[in-house]
Parts: sequence; structure tokens; C-alpha cells
Amino acid sequence: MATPTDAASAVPEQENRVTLRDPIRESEERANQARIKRLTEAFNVFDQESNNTIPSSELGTVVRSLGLVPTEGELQDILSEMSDDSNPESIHLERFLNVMNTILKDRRYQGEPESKILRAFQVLDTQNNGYLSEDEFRNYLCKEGEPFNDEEFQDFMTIALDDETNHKCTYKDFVQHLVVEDND
Amino acid sequence: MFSDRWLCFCCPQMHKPPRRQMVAPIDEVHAQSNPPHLQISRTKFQEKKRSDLTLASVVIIQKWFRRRQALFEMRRKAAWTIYQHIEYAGEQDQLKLYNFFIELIQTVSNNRRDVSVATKVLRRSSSLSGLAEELELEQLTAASTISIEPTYQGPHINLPLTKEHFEVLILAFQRGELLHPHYVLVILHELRRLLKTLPNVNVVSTHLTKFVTVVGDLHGSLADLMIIFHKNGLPSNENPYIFNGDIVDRGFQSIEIFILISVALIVYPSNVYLNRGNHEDHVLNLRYGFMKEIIHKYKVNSSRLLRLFENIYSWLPVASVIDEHIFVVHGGISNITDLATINRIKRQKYLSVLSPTFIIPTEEDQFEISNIPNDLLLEWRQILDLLWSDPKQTDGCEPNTYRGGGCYWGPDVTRTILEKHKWTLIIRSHECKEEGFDYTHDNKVLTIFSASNYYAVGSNRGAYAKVLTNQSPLVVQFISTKASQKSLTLWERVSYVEEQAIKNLIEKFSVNKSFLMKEFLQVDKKRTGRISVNNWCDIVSRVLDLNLPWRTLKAQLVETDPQGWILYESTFRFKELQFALNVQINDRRRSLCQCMYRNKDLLETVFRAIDKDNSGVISMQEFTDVCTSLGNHNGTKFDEKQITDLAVSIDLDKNGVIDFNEFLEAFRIVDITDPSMEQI
Repeated sequence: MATPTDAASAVPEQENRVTLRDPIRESEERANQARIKRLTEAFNVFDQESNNTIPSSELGTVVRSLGLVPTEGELQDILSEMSDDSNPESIHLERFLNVMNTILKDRRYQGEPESKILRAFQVLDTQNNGYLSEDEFRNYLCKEGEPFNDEEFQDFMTIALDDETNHKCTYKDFVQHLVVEDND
Repeated sequence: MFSDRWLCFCCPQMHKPPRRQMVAPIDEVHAQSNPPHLQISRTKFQEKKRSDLTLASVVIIQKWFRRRQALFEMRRKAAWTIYQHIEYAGEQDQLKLYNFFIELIQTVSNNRRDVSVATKVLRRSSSLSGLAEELELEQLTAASTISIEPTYQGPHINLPLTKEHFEVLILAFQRGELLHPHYVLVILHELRRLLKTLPNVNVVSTHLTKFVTVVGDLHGSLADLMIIFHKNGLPSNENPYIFNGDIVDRGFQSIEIFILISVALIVYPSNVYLNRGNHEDHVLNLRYGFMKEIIHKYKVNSSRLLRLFENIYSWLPVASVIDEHIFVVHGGISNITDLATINRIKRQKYLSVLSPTFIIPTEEDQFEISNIPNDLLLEWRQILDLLWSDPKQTDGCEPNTYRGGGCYWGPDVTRTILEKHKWTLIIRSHECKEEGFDYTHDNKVLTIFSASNYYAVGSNRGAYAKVLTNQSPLVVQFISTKASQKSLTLWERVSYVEEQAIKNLIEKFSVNKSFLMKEFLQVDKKRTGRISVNNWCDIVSRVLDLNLPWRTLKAQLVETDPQGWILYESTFRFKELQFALNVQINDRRRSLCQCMYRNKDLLETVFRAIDKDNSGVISMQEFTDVCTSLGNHNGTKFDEKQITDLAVSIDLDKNGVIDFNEFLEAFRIVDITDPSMEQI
């Protein structure tokens, strides 16, 4: 905690009064800085030309790589908030930071806990088998909600096959694969 | 109560604009009516609730899966960024070094030692010019200067070269055999003879053959060339090829590939074309492996070969035009690219595109301020831009600071230059692409890169382009894999490529340990052993001079404590730099060794450049001079006394010369966890 006599932190004002440091504001400021740095770094990975823009098509990857779990529809919302009508193909860093900083601060799109994801599988498992077949997955994931394309479905099924359960997949393990963290 | 919120359980209640692109199996009638529980019966309500729930569950799974994919994509991109940064940083370094030397000898410098090193490095191989130089070259590199010993088991060839010779060589090289240097000289001289008759820009026509195949960077990868020949057929009068440069350097079979392509050109001179790449340049060969490969394979005869290569590069055409409308060049173009101007250049002046002869003095110690005429500078720029430029997405044309040479050119420049020359497409190479190829600038620029697994196994595919008469090119991809490798899952592929990149970074950490620790300790004055993520990323980025996504990478590089602080000493937990010559290493020496290892590539480049007869040794004085001079170049403080001490102790024979190969190879990055295991 700073004390008023801490010379380094005192900001003398015109009338020789001294402003106190505000530790809460400072830690908020630090958190803000950290967020901005994190966002800028993720952004820069896709900024091929180093000109502070990324193609709009990469927004989904960038946002999700930050650990957020928006739906495709929610991504559209985010995109519309930050895209520039004069140049809809790319997103500028400044707008990106503005919008994403608020999103991170408000802790939006954080995703649900593992138990809810597990429950999602259980809902689909109408027979209560403990697993779902490839066909069942295909019927749900490629036809409903925000459908997978062929490539996405292929990659999705390799998770199942990774577990070597021969076209079935106990979704308990599945959930583990889906919530993979940065550190894994 | 679900109807507005079922798609997103976590978002706070807020007004959102209507969603687009929704695929929702909700009965349209119900969606438009008043809240369902007022209108429909209980069972229907339960049904609808059930189907809402199903839909919600499907969306949950879909969005979590997409998040996982994005994380992998990010890691793959980050690994790619690491490779590219390191590659280009190296190239940039090289160019900066040469610019530094050139400046030194151009201006009157007080530092005699630096100038002496610079002139030695840049000194032309020949002090003669014109006809005299030509005769000298022929005399020094004639095949007759090397005799073939009776014990030689490898392939034999003789002029005139035929298709059979070509096939014999392919088989021999696949078996790992070496072609006798006498024969190499025969082939190279024949190649040179033919190249001298060619124009600066090859004129290629598909009128008779209906197509021509363009191959991109090969970088010494014989495996990839074999795949291309296997898929696409051997070169012949019915199967023409254009090789778009960067045949040598980096890979380990550069000479074999160069010989094969040379023989193909000699046997089918109207149907095999070669474009010069930025690596067809002895200055780059110093650093990027070709010189080392030749010296290793041909030992005492390497000087002759290298001298001839140096000259042959300058006779390579700089570009090709197919059917008058497709421009094929290694690097790219710039705003000044002009075919007529290019055709007027005497390309043989440019032994090295980086340091052409007109700025190098012919005698040692000659340094005067030379006034290079403007049109000569422009001419140089034409060639430099053709071999070194990269496309960019935004309009304009600016110097390519990433590489250190050539330009970044934008789509507007493409349009202008294409229109000026009535071209429809530019095919170029020079940049590694994950899929082996890439279209840009509204499909008017095609990049073709033919060295698969360039950065690491699984890092990228290779590709070649078949250009058919009046059609868009057909791009064929491939990847060279060992037979034993099973196909990997996405997770495994990303993991492996990443692993190599990470290893690279960890090496860099250990080499920069003293600098990094100094900075860490400056921040962590209380010696808690931890610093914030921000500080760690800033320091690492600055000391290594690598602008990488450190936050994304840190999980694999350092340990963090449960509160999220970084335990910075773990930065060095894996690798340690060791110096394996029989010299005493105390603390001061350790930091000198780190310094040297950091600059290993530079040192090697300069040592080799000075060692004109490729003997592998330089004098102690030269050794000390080079080390100190490099210090002045990039601001590292090599302490002269320390270097002299080190030099003296390395010179075990006490004969006043240092075997710099031994010296360089004595640096090893060792796994600390297993001290018996050594990795270079």
C-alpha cells in the first residue's frame, strides 16, 4: 500500500497538493494492460503483413484461441461490432481491441462447465447407451444447430477414433478432449 | 423462458441484434406466436422443450469443438511464425553484415582492423577482369586438373551427355554415391558453355509440348525432386521443365540436385530452363550450407568447385516468360520492373547479387569513396528485386526489411507491371507455404514451393505447377514421408512441428542465458524467483530480438506457479551450452562462449569467406580480428584479451593457426536432463 509520503508515487499538483495513489485503479489498469497485450499478441499471429489488420475470416480462430467459446451466431455479432463497412474483409487492431477488451472484462462467452457439456451429450444419447455412434453424431452435428462441414466432422470423429472404441465413443472422455486447455 | 436465451447460457441479458445464419428446426408457426405455454397443449410444450434442449446441446458440442480446433490452429500458426522469424532473421543478419562490410570499405574508416577484415571477406576471387579472368577461371577449374583414381567406384560420364547418363546419375545419387569431382567439373563447364548462350530472360513456349512444368525451391532436397520426377515424369523434349531457383543450400543434397538439373539442361537444352534464385549466390552459400556440403564431400577439390559455382551462378538467367504472358521469376517484382531494361543488363557482372563486383575493391587495402552511377544502382535494384521480393496484401511498394533485400510489392504494382508487359500471371517461389502453393493478388500471383517438410517433418507440403497452353495452371501437391511413418492425427501433426520449433527457442534461451538472467534479476530485485508474465514476455522478446507470440508459447517454455507468476529460472531447465574443446571454462569464458555461439552463424560465414583456399584454418590473428570486428558490427562486446586467450588455448598444436571447423563444432547445446546425450 502506498503512503502519501512515498515520493515516487506522489504527483504534485499546481497548488502543492498531492494526489494519492489508488491501488484499486492501479490494479485495474494493470489488468487492462495485460488484457491488451494478450489480445494484441493473438491478433498479431494472424496479422501476416504486420499492418495491424487481420482478415475477417480469421476472427473466429483468434477469438476462440483466447479461450472463449462463442457460437457461430455470436461470432457474427462480435464481427459486426468491429468490422468497418468501408473495408468489410479485414478487421483493424484498434476496433478489435476495443470490442474484445470489453468482452474479456465482462467475462462473456466463457463457456459452460464440464458438467453441462457432459449433459449435452447425455441429452443426445436418447437410448442412454453411454456412447453415440458415428451416424448418430452425423445426424446431429451435420444437420442441426450450426452444422459441421465434412472436414470439421472428419476431425471431430478422429477424436472418437483416438480412443479406439471402434465407431462408438464414451462421451466422458470426449468431454476431456473438448475442453483442452492451452497448457495441454 | 428458453426461447430467447437457449443459445447462450452464459451471456448476460442484453439486447442483441437479430441473428443471421441460424439453422433452427423450430416450427415456424410456434416461433412467431405468443409465448408457447399459453397457446399449445402440455405435451406439445414438452416436445418443443425437448427439441429446444436437443438443439441447445448440439450447439454446445459444436462450439466447444470449434474452440478446440482454433486452439490447434493458433498453435500451428505460432510454430510457423517461429520458423519464419528465425529463418528471416538469419537472412537479415547476413545482409546486414555485408552492408556493414561494404560501408566500411566505402568510407574512410579509422579502424584499420575492421577494414582489413572487410576487404579480406569481400575480396574478389580474381583480381583480373575480362578475358584474363576468363582464362584464369578455365585454368584453375579445368577438369584436367583432377585425375580419376582407379579405385573410384562411382558413375562415369563423358561428353556428349545423353539420357542414359541422366538415368545412371539418378540411380547413383539415390544410392548415395558421390560423383567424382572430375566429372562434376566436366558437367559444370558444359553447363556454363550453354548458359552463356542464353538470354537474361528465358523465352519458353508451350506451342509444341502443350504444357511446361514449373518447380519451385528445392533447397537440396533430393527426395522431393525424386517425387516430382516420379509423379510428373523425367525432363525430356516432350516434358519440359522450368526450375525456379533456390536449388542449393539448407538441404544436404544440393550438389546432387544441381548436377541432375544441369545434366537435364545439357541433354535437353530447348526444354529445360533454369532461373536464378537468391541462394544461387556464393555469399549465401557461405552461411546456408552449400559451401559446407561441398567442402565436406569434395575436400581438397572443393575450392575449384566453389570457384566455378560462383561464376556459373552469374550466368543463370534471371527469369522466364511462358507464351509471352506468364512471368516466372524466383522472388518477384517491384514498381521498377521492366523487361526491356532487364534484357539489356550484362548479368554476368553480378557474381553475387548481394555484393556485386563494382563495389568491391580489387586489391587489399584499397578503399576509396566510389561514386556509383545512378543507372548502375538502378540496374542492381532490378536484379535484386527479381530475386528477393515478396508480395504483400496492401497497395504500394516498400523495401523488404524482413529479408533485408528486395521489396514488398502490393496488388497495385502487380496490376501495373502485368499491364505494362501484357502478362496475365506471375509465378514465383521464395516463400515457404504450408500447402506448397498460394495464390494472391486476385489470383494474379502464384507462389510455388517444392521443398516439403521444410521447417520440420510435417510442417508443409511441396507443390509444382503444370502450365498448360491457354489454361490456368494445374497445381500438384506432395509431401515426402518415410515409409515407416503412419498418417498422423491433427493433434500429432501439430505437436511434432511445434516440438521442433520449441526446441529451437529453448536453444536460444540457453545461448542467451547471461543476458536473460541479468534482466530477470533486474526486475526481481527481491530474488523471489518469479516475475510477471508481462515482464517475462517483454524481456524474452527484447533479448532474443524475436517478435513471437510468447504468451501463447510460454506454457511449453517455462513453469508457472499456482498464482500465475513465471518461475524464470525454468527458462533454462532443459538445455545448456557446453564447449567441448579441451579448454578451461571459467565464468568469464562461459559468457564469452555464449556470445560466440549466439553469433556462430556470422562467425562461420566470415571465417569461410576469409579462408579463400578452403583449408579450414585461419591464423590466430585473423581469428581474433574477426571476432572483434563482428563485435563492432552488432554491438556485442567481444573482449579482445579474452578472445586472444581463448585463441591461444584452442591452438593446441601451438602452430599459430586455428581449425575453425573444430572450433565451431565444439559448441554443443546439451540436454541438461541427460548429460550423456549430446545434440548440436
